[in-house]
Amino acid sequence: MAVCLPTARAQEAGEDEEVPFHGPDVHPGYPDAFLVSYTLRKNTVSPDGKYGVIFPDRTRMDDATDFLVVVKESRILGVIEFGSEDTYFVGKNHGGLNVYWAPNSSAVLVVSEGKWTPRELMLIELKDGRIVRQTPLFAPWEKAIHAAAPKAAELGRAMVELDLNGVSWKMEKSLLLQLKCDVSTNPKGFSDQSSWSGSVVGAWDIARHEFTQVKVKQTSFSKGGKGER
Amino acid sequence: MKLTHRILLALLLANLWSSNESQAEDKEPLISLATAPGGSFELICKQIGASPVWLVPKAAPNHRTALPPVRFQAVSEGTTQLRETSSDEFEGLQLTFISPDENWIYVQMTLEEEESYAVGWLYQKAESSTPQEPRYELSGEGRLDTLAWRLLCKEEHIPEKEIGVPDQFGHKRMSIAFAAWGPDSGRLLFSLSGGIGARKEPMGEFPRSVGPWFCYFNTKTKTFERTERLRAASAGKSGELLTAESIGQEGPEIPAEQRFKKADAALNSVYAALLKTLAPEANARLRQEQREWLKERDLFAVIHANQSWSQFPGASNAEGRAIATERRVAELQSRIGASGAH
Repeated sequence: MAVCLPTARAQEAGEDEEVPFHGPDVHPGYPDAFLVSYTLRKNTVSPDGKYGVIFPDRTRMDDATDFLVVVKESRILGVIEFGSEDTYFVGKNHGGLNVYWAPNSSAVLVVSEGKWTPRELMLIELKDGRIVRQTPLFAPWEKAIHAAAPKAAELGRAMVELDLNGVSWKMEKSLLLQLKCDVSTNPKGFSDQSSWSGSVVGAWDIARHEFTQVKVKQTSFSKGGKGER
Repeated sequence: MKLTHRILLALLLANLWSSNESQAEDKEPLISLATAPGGSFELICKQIGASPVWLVPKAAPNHRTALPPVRFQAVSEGTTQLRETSSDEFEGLQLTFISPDENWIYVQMTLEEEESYAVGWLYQKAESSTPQEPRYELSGEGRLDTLAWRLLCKEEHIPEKEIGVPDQFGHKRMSIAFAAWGPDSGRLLFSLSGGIGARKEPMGEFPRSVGPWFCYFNTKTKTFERTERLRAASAGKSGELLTAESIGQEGPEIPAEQRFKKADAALNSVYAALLKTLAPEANARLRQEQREWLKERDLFAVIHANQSWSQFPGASNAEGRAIATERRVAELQSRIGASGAH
């Protein structure tokens, strides 16, 4: 029996409220860089209150790294394996960071936002207080959309605009991460370009490690400025 | 009432008022900026970027004292004019670096974004200080960066008035950056960077620039000092500087990547030697453990680079990998020793 779980994006509890986080004391006597240069927002903390995501400010632009941390233990679980262009820091141009925890705190989707599409969707799985796997989902998600919407793929270019507007978790035989987005290949509506747009829903099966149930809805396609639906 | 009684009463009331004030302040959440290496005191402030910085003795947490303020020129918010202000009045993060022997505190304050304008100063433990209530006073004849810029101008033959010339919005490029305390607390390593001359247009390039120009403040002689290692690094003839030399142990710095490679080679040897001593099951366990350790090494290196506040994050990361690997070598060696003993 499928059990629907409420999404655990903790945005409701104080959107931008910050929680102090102390890093490991590597250099006694020196300032704690993790306290003064990094931010732990309350809305990135896991439902069980154990874990959170920290991101740096502009003083760390040269070596910017986002981390998954144990909130109350001054412990850093690991680097979030974003590419260097995808790592979020305060003031990043067209940047943003959204965090969606599974209700049982066993997995988290960390979204590094971008201008037209997310820069990356990083799925992190945890077990026994350790990171067991990180999976960058943007490329597989794009591939799954192309497979489900061959018309969009025919245009021969990546999704120009991908607005991720729904993230939720569902427990079936295994934990599913459900994604919903609006996609457009021609968001500025250039009349000389063919364009495809539509809504896509899909689920990443944690156990099978693949996208399943990808469905495309409300598509529209226009060629050379003449719309046809 | 006799005069002495009046004085005693005034002192008593002042003490009571001060105690109440301290208790009221204690209820506010405070941020710990740094803890003395031996744990005898903590430097705190009310929030990141708030002044003043308070020193809280571990032995007497209610007797906190503010570190004495320093003066500098800065552009106030919403204006374009540089004006004289004080570290107690200016909102900005004060980074505090306590020497290993706890006798010195170096403070650095960024006055503009992107660290283009930063000042630094030093506190020295006061003679009247006690282990229970450490007290610090400003060291030297002025701010450390001011005195160091004077030395740089003299050594590099640059007119002082050409350093840190502000543009029409009051922005200037003239910064000091902490690098390291020497392990013996004998030297503070820092660098200066700045523009020489006036920008032709706001935010534009300077005709010339200088830095990073490395220099020590020798805490024993209380003078600036530049060893061969620093001169070579400033001239771009050596690798990136991460450490300060202890007094009497001067010499070239081993590049962090080289140190890491040496440690890594030692680890390969000791790991192979240990594997040979183990039964198949234990052998497989060690291989798995080593894979996990590699992840831990890389994470430690990133943490180390952050907590070192180095101007060279890449080199600092390599130093972190070297430190973690050297520890791992020692650990695996001790296991070989233990298995040999059995």
